[in-house]
Amino acid sequence: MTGSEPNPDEVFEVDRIRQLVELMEEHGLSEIDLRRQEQRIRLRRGQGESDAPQEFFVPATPAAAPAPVAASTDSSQAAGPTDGENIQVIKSPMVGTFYCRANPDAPSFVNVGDPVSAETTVCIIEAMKVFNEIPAEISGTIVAILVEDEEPVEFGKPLFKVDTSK
Amino acid sequence: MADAPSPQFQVDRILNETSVEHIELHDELISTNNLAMELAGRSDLPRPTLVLAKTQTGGRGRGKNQWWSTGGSLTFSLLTNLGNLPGDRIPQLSLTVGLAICQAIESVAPLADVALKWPNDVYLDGKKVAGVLIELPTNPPPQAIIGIGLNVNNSFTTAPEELQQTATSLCDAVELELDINEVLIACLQQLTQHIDLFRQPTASLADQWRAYHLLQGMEIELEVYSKTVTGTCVGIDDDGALLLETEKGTSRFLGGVIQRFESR
Repeated sequence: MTGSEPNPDEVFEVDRIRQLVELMEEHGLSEIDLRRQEQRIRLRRGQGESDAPQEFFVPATPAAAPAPVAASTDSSQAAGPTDGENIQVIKSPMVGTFYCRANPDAPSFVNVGDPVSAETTVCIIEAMKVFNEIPAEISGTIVAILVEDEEPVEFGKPLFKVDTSK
Repeated sequence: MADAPSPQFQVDRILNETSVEHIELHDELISTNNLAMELAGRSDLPRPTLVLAKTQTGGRGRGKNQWWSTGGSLTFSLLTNLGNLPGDRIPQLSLTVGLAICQAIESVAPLADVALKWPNDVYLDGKKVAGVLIELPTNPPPQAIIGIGLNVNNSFTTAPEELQQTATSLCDAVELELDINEVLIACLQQLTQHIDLFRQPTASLADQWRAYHLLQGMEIELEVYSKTVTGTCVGIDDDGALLLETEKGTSRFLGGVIQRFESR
């Protein structure tokens, strides 16, 4: 499967979201929260009170955002296929906030197209002021960055796609 | 602020009275955590290694926050092995370290009114006396860099009024100059003791975090991913999450920055 082909099991697929929104309107629902394995989507309708989250680190789908978003505009487009047997995913080992750089003035640890080895630091996950450097733990080339800088992440959330054949 | 002379550290005494195996002592460093990060890749250095600066010129906090240190303050980083902690326990390291510093201060100033502000700031008489920055480098084995900035003999009595309202030092609280080596040794001993306990899979320090918790019952403004959440602090749960009672019920937070807090 290549990155351009729709995956029927993908909860973030746009048609799926459209269907959900229509269902919500049809039945007057204010919120839908679906999970399948590590994927989750939560949609809310209505005028918002400041919707303070009941849990902080829910995966970020406050509106009908279509998908995890690449961290920079120059990201996955030029990187070739982002799915396939050689593609592996680096997942968050903990709950926290994703940082793509060591400090606000530093360059990103990695960009799409960068080679990584098992020891390469790819990001920092911070929780309660513990800043945890995350190693790639696999070798290959970064082909997609799946979260934005300073985005909250759950345990197991996919962070990067790595082409292990490169 | 009165600028006390640079501290004179007694390396042999520190090595003898703590579990520290190696000390990197520098007259001036930009950040003790930065150097400790570099040393984290050195497998030839024993652990724990202590990085100590008489003066730190660019101590870091969260984001662009900086820890301003002057003569008389204590700035150090401890590079120590951590063992294999499950990811869900790592955030609790913050509270564990903050708790250790609270108890270290009590051991050198028994009458001090010490409190822990979630997740790891240490307060004395209602003002900030110490900050903590913890970094976990990728270099194996699992290890932590625990950076501490503690105001010891740098008095704030002549500081601008605004600063006096929010920060203090140990010497201001006890109205005496303290032996900075004794304070450092107390910190290192408490850190070792608490981290050893924390490494044990079944250990829980939750009751102790709660006993020292500054924010209990206070009105809090917490900035969470570009949103501000307001509520009353109703505690810290066993995982270390901050519990806020908001209009929508009780919420738990493992992240966020406290922007404001005040008694009800």
